[in-house]
Amino acid sequence: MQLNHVRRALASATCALLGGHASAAPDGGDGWSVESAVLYYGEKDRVQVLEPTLFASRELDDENRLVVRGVVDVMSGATPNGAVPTDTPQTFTTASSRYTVDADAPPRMDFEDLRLAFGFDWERTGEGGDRRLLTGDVSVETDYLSMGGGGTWSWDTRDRLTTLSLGVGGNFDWVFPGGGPPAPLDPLDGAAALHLIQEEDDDDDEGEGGEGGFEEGEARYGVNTLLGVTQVLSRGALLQLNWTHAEQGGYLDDPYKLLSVVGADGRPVGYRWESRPDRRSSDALFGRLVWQLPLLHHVVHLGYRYYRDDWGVEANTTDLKYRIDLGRRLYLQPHLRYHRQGAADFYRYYLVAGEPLPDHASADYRLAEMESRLAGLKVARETKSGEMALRLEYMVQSGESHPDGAPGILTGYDLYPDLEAVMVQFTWSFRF
Amino acid sequence: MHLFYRLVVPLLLLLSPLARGEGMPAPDFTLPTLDGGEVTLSKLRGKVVLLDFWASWCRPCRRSFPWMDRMQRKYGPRGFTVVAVNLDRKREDADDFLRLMQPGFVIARDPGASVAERFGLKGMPTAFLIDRQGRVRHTHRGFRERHGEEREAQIRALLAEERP
Amino acid sequence: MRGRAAAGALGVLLLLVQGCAVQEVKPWERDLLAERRMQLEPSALDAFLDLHIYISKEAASGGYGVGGGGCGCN
Repeated sequence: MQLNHVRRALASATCALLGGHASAAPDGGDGWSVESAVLYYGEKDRVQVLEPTLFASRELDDENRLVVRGVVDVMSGATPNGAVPTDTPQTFTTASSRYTVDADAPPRMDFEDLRLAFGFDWERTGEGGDRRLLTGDVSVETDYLSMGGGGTWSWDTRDRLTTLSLGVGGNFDWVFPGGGPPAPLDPLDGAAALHLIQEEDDDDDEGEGGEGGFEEGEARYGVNTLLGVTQVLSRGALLQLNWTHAEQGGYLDDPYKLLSVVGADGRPVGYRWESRPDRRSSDALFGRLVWQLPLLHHVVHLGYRYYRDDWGVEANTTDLKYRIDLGRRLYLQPHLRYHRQGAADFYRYYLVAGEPLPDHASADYRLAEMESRLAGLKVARETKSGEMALRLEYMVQSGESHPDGAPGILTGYDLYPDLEAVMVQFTWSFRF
Repeated sequence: MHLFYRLVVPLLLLLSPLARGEGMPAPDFTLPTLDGGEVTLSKLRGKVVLLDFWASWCRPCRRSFPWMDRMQRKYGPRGFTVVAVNLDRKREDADDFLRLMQPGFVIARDPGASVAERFGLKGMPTAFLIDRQGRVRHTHRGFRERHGEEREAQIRALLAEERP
Repeated sequence: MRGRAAAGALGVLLLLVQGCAVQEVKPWERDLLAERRMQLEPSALDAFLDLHIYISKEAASGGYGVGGGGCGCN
């Protein structure tokens, strides 16, 4: 009884009849509609990325719509290699490079890379309103090639208030780091490294080309499926629920990540390459509410995702965008996101000398227990074909800096330095 | 009990919008037009009428306008007329749309959607092709370019029928 | 604790569905739902760029759709 009462009150509060103002719907018509953007992503002391992006879409006829996209990622900077800091300089010798990290500094590997990515969406709307979406994506980097695609079928029921979706996708990736992918858990100063040192004179230490090229790569592949329901809740509210399942297999290691092997004093006695299982099975439940507030006509986009996989990672992610229209064309959109994840079972800050080697181990900070907070603001002006917008966002990731049981000098170091990043994105849409 | 089935059910069926299938008389209405006049369906008896329901935010509706405009110009002189009923809540939205489209046919307003309700609209746009006797003969749900020819043939066929 | 938060969020969603699904939305009442800002993904481009960042910085992925390209970033 009580519950019903609350439910009804909630329903009338959230779904009350909405009034007037409605800005123009996306305009169809002939020609290409282009959205271009430049994103700058910069981490404090770490990675910088400049990412020009182009999306072009076109109504081929009244049933077919095509979107093509292209992205260039210009990446540079330093990324944590997985090792822990220590009180003397550390030198890392791999098959393709040798670099030294200062005493007391968090070990990071400098890198530069360029990524080109292309993709398309082809959406076909059938006579009865059913939609078929076909997507394809290809991307290349100096050490990585990825091909992916998928198909999603959606159809409406019950006077178009409910939409069901079914999707299946797959990807095939090829990982080919310079010198070939290292053997999992191998010590770092192996034979490959010696080989490189001999040839160092006539070989610059870029990761590409030369010894261990494309052919010596490893494959990574995956299949993913989607089951979704979208429900119109009221004139101004829409709810989407998705369940996705993914199976990945093959070489799932990061060929640049390693672990320190530390002695009782916490100082490294060696380094080993990381090792991950060669299978990963994951599920995600995702819900999203789009709701236009009565009277104010602000629009809430609230998303929540629960994620779990058989590597032991569990994650909760909440995302809120709140759009405030100021007049007919201008709008502000604050953005908040909170992500919290548990560690993978095989995540280690370091390995301990003398202890038996685990089957799998990784010190990749992304597999650690951590939380990520993001706050941002978008200021946009709508145009006939899209918008002109500026987006600023700030993200902080933090984890356990001083894990229990760290031996010797490691208690004095931050073993999980915060990651701070800013994102600046400028978007401009036009039509031709 | 028998009386219920023999009298009440058919009566209910007759009243329900679902029952208003093809061949049934179109319910009469009077609606204001955008140019300040009004349109009454029964006064168009003797003409073939395409009664179209649309809104400015509906994309297939937009695509159907050039076709309706062509039909009006081509068959208007032979006794054909388009009556396009706008269902936008706010009149300005319809006005903005019409400034772009400049249609040469009658635009009526039904902001409370009471007429749309009586016709039992299932989607937008929906158009009812009404013959010279005032009966709904064809229902056009949605609009695609390739529907044009078939629907035009229906108009021609109805125009060829005898006047009442 | 985490499980409870998840259950709570799901509960709220279910309440919303239950409470609101009874509201019939007629074909001519879809004006707000037709607006760009009311689409599930109003800006495909923003979503695309965001997803790329999150995927390369976090252990979790999925939920939004199928297919898509990978990168050497994770």
